[in-house]
Amino acid sequence: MNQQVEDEEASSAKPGVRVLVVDDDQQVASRLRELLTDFNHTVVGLASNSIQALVLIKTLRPEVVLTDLRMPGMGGLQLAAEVMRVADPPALIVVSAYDDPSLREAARRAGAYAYVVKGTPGVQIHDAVVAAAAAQSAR
Amino acid sequence: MVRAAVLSGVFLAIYASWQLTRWGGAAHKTLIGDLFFMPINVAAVVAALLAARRCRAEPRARRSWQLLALALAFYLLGDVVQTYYEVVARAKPYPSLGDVGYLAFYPVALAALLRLPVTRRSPRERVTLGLDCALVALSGAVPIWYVSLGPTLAAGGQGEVAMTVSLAYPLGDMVLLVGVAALLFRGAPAGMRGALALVGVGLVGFVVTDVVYGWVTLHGTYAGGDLVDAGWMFALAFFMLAATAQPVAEAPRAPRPIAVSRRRVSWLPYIGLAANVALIVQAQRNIGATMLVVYVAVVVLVALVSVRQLVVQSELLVAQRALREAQADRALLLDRTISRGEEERVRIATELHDGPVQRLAALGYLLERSARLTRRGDGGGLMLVDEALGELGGEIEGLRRLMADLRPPVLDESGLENALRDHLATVFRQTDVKVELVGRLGAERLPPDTETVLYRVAQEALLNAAQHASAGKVCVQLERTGSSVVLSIEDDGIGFTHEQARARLRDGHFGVVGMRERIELGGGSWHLDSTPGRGTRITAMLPELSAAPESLEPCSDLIELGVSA
Repeated sequence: MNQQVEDEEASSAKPGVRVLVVDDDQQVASRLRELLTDFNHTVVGLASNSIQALVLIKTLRPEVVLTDLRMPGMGGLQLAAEVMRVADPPALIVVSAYDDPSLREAARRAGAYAYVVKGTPGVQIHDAVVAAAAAQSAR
Repeated sequence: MVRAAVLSGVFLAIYASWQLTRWGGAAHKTLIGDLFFMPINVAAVVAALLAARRCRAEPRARRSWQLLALALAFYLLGDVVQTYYEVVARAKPYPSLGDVGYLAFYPVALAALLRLPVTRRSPRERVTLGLDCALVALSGAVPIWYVSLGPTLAAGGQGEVAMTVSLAYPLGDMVLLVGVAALLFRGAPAGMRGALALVGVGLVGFVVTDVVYGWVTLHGTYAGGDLVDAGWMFALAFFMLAATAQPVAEAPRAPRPIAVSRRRVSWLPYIGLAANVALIVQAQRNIGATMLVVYVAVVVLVALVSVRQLVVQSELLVAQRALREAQADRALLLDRTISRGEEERVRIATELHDGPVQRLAALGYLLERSARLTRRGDGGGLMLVDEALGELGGEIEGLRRLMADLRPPVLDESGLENALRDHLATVFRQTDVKVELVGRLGAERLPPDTETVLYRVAQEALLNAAQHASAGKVCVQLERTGSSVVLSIEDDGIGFTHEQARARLRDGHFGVVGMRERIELGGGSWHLDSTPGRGTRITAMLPELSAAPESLEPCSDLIELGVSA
């Protein structure tokens, strides 16, 4: 337990990542924002659909986008493909209710950096965000 | 085709004018009469050969036209030889080479008819076809026998060869009748129907003329150019027209799979039967009163049996149509049942995705946050736990609703009647519709399958009543009669007609068929009475489906083992 506390505090000390959260479920979106804020990241915005997300990506320039997979209208996979066309695109992490190998593969092919199942411990989401930001700046 | 029809019309008109006025003088009657045959016969041969050429893509049809051309050529040969004997040699040898030509016409023409392309048939259809052909051929053969074959045989007085030839003509006619019957019943490919109808008319004309000729020669004398010739002339003209009516044939398509085809009621066998019966009466008109009554009775009996047969046959056709409709409904329903099952899964998966999974994930993040705050000694962590507990309660409530929606617990817990009462109240809760449940079961339980089937039927019927009936009052009755349970749902709404119901079915609304299917699968019966403007009443009667098999005697050893383990 102590080890974990130290880990969290250590990571909190690092400079945060600028994140955009995309989810049609507002409660999930705001809980993710709280979680990421606790880990010292900056949630630059919440989008409830992919169109809104694309606008915010261009205006707010987040380093990482956390997106749901199943949303009304344009889904997360399509959003990932669209994001990859943006100049200097952010890294994209899919956060999905489905734990499905072929969806993981589809997300990877669409250009997503990581695939996280909804309900995984927050620290793993934090790790993924940090790794994605590092990969994005290395590009 | 039109030009050929006009030309042959003109030709026949000239021939008719000759038959009526005998222009050219009586001395040349045979010469003129015989010469008239040459052009039309040649034209028929050429037309048949051209028709064969147009059928290059369809080998069977081509061979058929070639054979018909050959048959007509044989006939032409007969005519030429006959004319030579009659006009040039002024002798009438019988039989002569001319008879060879004439007689060859019959088998070759039959071969032509039998070579025609046909649609594929199942063995059973072939049996029916054979019976129909035999009936028509036989009922045509009897008059031939009566008018010419029989009397010729009885008359005798000819040499063996002459007798054989004399008998061969009526026999040839009988053979041709088989061909005509086959033509009528086998059906023809779409492109050939017009041509074959004309061939059929020509053949019938030919046979009738032969019979008349036979009668004439038995009762008087015949000479070339007599009125009887007009019949053969008519037949030849139709053969020619038939050949010109043959369009360019398409390549035969791959044989269709054998399917139960719609059969029309064919009147021909009955007409044939009637003709033969008439023949008997005609032949027996001079017998005594006693036998006459017997004959008349037999005739009436035959007529009655025929009528009865026709009635049964048309009933069968009606039943066949109803069966086809029911089969089509069932296929649609099966399709629908499968897709509906899938749709239901999609709905449940979506509800789980959008509801519980999201809520629980959000709850997880909340509890994590609460843990983090608590670890730091922040009192806000405990408040978050309270918030989480509230959300958890709401989530359990949501899942419970989903569960109840899938299977109403009241049905399992307190029986069909109570479940129906609840459901009735729910469906019409926010409406002015008066609802009434007349239940005679109370809390009595039926086998679970019976309850489920009746509940689903009531659900569907009430949904229909609520959505489409514009009813002011809905009454549900549930009672037991003997070993059956009867459920009826009645409304005073706008009702509908059979056609409206079928139209709705075609539009993908399967409620009514679905209800019937559920009940019938359960071994029950289902009735729908609906009159436009007078409401709808649905009655479902279901024998109590067998309950779960009697549970076996509990095996005490196993239970003890289970407990001790």
